[in-house]
Amino acid sequence: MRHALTSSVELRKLASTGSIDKDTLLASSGSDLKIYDSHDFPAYLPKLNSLYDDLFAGGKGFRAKLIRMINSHLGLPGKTEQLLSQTVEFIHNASLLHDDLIDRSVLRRGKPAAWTKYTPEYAVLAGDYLLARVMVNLSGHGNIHLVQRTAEAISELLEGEWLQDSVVGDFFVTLEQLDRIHNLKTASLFKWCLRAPFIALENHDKALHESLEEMGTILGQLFQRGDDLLDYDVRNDEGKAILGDLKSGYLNSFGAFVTRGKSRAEIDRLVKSRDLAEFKATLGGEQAFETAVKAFDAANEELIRLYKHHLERLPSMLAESQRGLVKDLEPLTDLLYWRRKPQ
Amino acid sequence: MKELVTLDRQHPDFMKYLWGTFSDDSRALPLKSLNIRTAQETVTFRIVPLKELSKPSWPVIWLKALRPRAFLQILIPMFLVLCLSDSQGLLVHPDLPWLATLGMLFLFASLLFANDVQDHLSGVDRILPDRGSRAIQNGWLTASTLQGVSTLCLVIAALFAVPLFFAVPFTLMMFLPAVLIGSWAFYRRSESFKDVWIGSFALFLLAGPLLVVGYQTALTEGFDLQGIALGCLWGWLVLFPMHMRSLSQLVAEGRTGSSRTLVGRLGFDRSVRLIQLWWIVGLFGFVGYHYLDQAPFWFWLFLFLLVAFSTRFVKALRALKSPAGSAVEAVRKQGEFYFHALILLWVLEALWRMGS
Repeated sequence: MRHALTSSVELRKLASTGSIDKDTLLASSGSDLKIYDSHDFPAYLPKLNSLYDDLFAGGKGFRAKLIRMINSHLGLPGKTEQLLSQTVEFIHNASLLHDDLIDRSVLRRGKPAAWTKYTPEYAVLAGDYLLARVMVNLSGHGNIHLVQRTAEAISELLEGEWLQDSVVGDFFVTLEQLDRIHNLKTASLFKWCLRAPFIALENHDKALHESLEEMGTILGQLFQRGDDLLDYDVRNDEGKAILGDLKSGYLNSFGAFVTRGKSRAEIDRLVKSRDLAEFKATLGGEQAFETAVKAFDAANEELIRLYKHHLERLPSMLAESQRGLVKDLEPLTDLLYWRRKPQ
Repeated sequence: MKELVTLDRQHPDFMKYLWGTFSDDSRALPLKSLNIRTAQETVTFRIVPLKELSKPSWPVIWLKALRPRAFLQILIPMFLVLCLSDSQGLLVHPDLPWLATLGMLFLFASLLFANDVQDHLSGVDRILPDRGSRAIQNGWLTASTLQGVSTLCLVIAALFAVPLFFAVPFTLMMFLPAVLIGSWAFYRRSESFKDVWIGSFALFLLAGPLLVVGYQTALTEGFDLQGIALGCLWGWLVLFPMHMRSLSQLVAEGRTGSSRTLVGRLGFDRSVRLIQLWWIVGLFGFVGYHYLDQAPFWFWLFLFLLVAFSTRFVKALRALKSPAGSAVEAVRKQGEFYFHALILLWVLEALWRMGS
């Protein structure tokens, strides 16, 4: 666990001397980030540690890596970086525990979901417990602004979950309505990742936080939209189940995009497709599907340009030593929407 | 995408971009924001040269900016009062109806334009896409132009009002409370009057009893119980589509922190019950008013059909699961349809009464 005990600042130094690859932070596997340690949780709670062992074993830890990458330019102590990384991963994983139960998803990262393996009651309690630990850890750290921002992020996440559940089975939902939900559900943690290290640094510059908030929103939406495309087997290198969302009664952002302006009867036919081939045929064939993907990509290119516009404004709000962050934040849109690994 | 500019409120040119006076040959189109924290403090504009801006013809632009459907809010009650006064043979002077009508139309246009400008300056229209005419957001008109036209309309309305006040001084008694409430509503700095619960009551008074009784006074040098009843009924009914709209925008409004409308305060589930109750009470009021007014047989027949069909709306309203999905918008449109059907029936009855 060498890297788990090595702060991103030290990693950055190693990168600058050529001892470590410069993209280690984002490209590294999740295993070098020590997010979960069974010794941090009570041993007398039956099945809790087994459940968390399963939960934290398979994740990519992207959000924690994002924290680490940002901190490599801010220089927060390793302990604070660890706290932030743990916080975001705890919240994210708590939401997955609850999400799987709400969606009745039986698999998580290719393994049985916690609620099927350990009972729904334990899955709910394990999620609640993670959120409680977040607050215990953060309040122990003593930065009240960080506690407040984190509580806001959790609230937004839950509001998004709640609203998303309320539109399951609604195949006429618009992209704009979904954007609102994704802005709460998905973007809340991206916004938190971008802002929390600065809050921990006691940098409360309003203009900076507003820019980071906008950038986090865009990243969240791009991530969600990229993820939604996987459902239609577009750039699906992860091998995500095809039409999984649709079959679960959820019209995702790409679904809402292609059904724009269509009649209820047409939408009805589309969402009843048994497989992707039938979906494409109903849409008007392979060519029509490709055209829709291109149009969706073009719409998201606009979002990426907006992200880059905010990125260009960032250096003037950062200290000289922090400006390298801009370069590291740039490829995130490639990673999150286009699903391309950093060059 | 054209050039993007992000400014915060402290920037010396911020207001110039919002007013649209920063350039003679470009428009600054504010981008829609899903972020409550930034929409009101920081605005990202897309700078579009005028020659690259797609615009409809000028008559279409002004027609859209005027929002003709919104004028139904005042045209219908004024028409009903005119019919009522005519049938009672109480019209005192042939010039008074057109003076009062034109004055009201210009005043209403002025308020509509000022309201769009206010929403634009406060940032509300960057979060709530359905708010206003979108003439400013599309770059067809600048906020500055719209504010200027609003002031012009107000001056014209005053020009129509002055001879009216001389002819029927009592009208001033009705006009002053309306001015007081209107001033409170439109010059609130912190938030639009529509976004506070008492705003519903203010709108009820302005669009209902004060408008109807004021107009009736201008036409007949007095008012009666039927005028007050008509005003109250209209004020009640006209709030129905407003509550429906608040329900369909509950999530967005809630995220702006401006969910202090009646619907916002009650929340989704109780608002569904409120709107259901609002419709039923409105129907009872409608039946009561026309019963006392001795409406003809055919009117009751159509009203029965309308009430019977509107049970479908009530059912759909009760079946709503979420303010976030597509169903709430569909129910809103259904509700508006029945509201307009009810109003059409009222207008036809008034026309029939005039003809007979």
